[in-house]
Amino acid sequence: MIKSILKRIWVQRRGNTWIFSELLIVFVLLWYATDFLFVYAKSAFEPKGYNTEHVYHIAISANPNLIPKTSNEDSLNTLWVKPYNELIRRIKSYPGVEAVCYYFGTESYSEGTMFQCYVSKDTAHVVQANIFYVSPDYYNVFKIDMVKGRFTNWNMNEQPQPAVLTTDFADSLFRGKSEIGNSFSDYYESGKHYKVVGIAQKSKQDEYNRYDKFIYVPIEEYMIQANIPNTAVRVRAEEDHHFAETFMNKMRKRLQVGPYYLFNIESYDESKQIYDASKGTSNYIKSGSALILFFIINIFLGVMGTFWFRTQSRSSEIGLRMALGSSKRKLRRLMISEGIILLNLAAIPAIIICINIGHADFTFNKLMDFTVLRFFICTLITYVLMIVMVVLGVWYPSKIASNILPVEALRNE
Amino acid sequence: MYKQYLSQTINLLKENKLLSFISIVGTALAICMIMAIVIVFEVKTANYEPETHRDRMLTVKWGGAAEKEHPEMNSNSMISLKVVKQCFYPLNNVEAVTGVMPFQQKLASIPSGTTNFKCDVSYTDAAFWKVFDFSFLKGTPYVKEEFESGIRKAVISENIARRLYGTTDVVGKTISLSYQNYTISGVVKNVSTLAEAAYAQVWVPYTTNNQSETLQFCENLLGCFRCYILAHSSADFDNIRNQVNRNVTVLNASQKEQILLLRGQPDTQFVQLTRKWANNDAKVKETVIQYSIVLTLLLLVPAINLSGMTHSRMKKRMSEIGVRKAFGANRKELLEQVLYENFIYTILGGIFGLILSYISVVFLKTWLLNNLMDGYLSGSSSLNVAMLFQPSIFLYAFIFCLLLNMMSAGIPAWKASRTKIVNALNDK
Repeated sequence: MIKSILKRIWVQRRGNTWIFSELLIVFVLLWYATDFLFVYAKSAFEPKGYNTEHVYHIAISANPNLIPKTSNEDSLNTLWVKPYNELIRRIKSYPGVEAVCYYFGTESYSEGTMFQCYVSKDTAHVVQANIFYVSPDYYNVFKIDMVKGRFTNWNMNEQPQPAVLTTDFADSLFRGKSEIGNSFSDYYESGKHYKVVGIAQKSKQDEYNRYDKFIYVPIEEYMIQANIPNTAVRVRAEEDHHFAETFMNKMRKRLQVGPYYLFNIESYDESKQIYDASKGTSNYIKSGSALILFFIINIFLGVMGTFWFRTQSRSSEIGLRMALGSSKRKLRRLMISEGIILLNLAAIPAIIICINIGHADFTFNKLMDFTVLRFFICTLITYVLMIVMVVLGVWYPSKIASNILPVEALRNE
Repeated sequence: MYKQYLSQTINLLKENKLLSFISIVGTALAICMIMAIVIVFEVKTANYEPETHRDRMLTVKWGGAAEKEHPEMNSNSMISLKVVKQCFYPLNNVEAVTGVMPFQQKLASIPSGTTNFKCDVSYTDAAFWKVFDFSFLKGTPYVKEEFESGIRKAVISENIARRLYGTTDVVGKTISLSYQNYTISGVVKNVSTLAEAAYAQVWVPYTTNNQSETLQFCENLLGCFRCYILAHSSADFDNIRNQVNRNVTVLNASQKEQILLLRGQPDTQFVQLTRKWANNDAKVKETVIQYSIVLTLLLLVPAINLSGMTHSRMKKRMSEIGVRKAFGANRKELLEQVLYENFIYTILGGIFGLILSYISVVFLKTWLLNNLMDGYLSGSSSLNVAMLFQPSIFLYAFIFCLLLNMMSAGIPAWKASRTKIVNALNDK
């Protein structure tokens, strides 16, 4: 059967040019769009290395009229640090709050990054990493995925200071021999020494980013004198209903401590939405999906139209087949097979074009390299989509064809 | 003759319902997607309140400061007040020049009240009200003398007035912005976030905010200002650019270590849209290429579809064409007939497509019309009739229909008109 279909396609090659070229062009375009979305989807599913569900970011500001105008160390402590600690205490006692923390560093879903360079004691190997200066409860708020160890003895006064590194940073710094207890130092500040107390899973700043090296060290009080830290709370899941509005209303007066006041509270899910929109990510994903939908609808319409015409122009042949004993099912299968074989013929040059596109680096490689596995999966998805559309498109005309009365068909001849 | 084609086509439409449906849906889908892109483009570039003079306005959004010794080491941000005062305020031959400190989020409240909420504040000068046309519901904007003396006057939008006081009759009352009090001097109609340059919820003079002076860096070349220049007409643009370049050269000569880079600004509206990040040049060529590729794809794929179907349709009517040729119709007439008939299909599909595209723009506006900053702003991207029903949109729709028609019916029509009469009559 396949041989006869192939022969028929070759004989009618001029009539088949339209549908063949359309299948070819749409296959390549569909593959490109699928590949694009696949990269985003894969990035979204990879774990960030920490959890931001039910976590809220509290924005604290300083009232310009109440800012202390002094540079005396003790005054700064009394006027900035003590009120801030009181603030944290009050937030912690709010019902529903599971843990509170404060930190400086590379905020998730933001453009800001802070990084430092570190060198290990044994080798003169310098590595850069994104740094977080965190309070002891940071682990309880963000539930960092740990490989080994924990945030133990989290005190800025410990010498050497405890530090938690992500696996890629630790492997790079200690050349694969990363253990709890390893020592290393800050590259620029020669007096600063650290000891590894924990190793965390790979981390990234937001879903649509590559994994990057991170390090967590204790926050130091003098930093609070110069800047207001980021504050984050984890809310118990059962109590996370309209948390932001009620918190704003109830705590606005209570959080007017010292020069501070509550400016805003936002969940990390909301921040993620705003950030993704600001990077254009949500746009790209929606546009990509819309284009895919557009292409497959066009294929569906094109295949349906072409095979409809075929049914009409070949009605005499169909009548003949039926008169010679072919069943309805066999006729339908014949038409559908012809459609699928046309697709397969168009797919071969299309796949070759796709390989060349990937090779020439025209694909979207910012989040993920162009690997064989990626190519294979995307091509498979594209092929399946196209087959489904071709079968759907041929189905209705084939049904009409199989319902032709042989008498009518042969009479038209 | 055209009436005959029309009635013939309508009959054919009724006869082959499925095929007509496929043709019209295919066309409508393509026109819908294309026109959605066109409508979005028009909303971003056409004139509407309060940016009623976009066609004769120039924008300076970003600036760069490069080290004199090492020009590749540069910082980029908005420009500083010093640059606005030295390079832009002294321009000649312009209607108005305004410097704006946009995107400041403040806590709005009434001194004795309990409501407080985030709002977006723009710090401007008095010329701002000349460059943009706001509709004042009550009161007036602050004037030059009040601006120069740093008097705390504010213009607020009607939403803010209602949220704070429950009415728009608030001229003379007080609004507190992050614990600084201002007297309300005017209330304006809400401004959509789509009017990026003029958008804010509260406008106050920048002389009341000392950050306009203190937040300057890189040898006072960068800060938090944007500048908008209203020319008398777009013919003056080159003259204005020359003046700006001269002023910048003079400024740079007096700088010790860092020089100002404007990278081709001030920009016209379209160019300014392509300038997304501070450290890049305006990407006009890339944007035009991107648009062209997308539009070509959106036209090409349906064109191939429709082409195939038109071709098959023509083959079926070969005998009719043969008869007409035998009776003296020349190639040109036959070509016209096919193109005209196909054009009816295209126009029908085009009308549906245009309606669909308006519906998508209105319902999907958060996706199609969003600016990158929208998530951080508190206002809404409202659309109005003036934005959407620009006559140019209908013109574009017609042109794209014509294009699609040419692309989808061109080759089949040409082939049909070339068949020999004998073959056509034999219908083989």
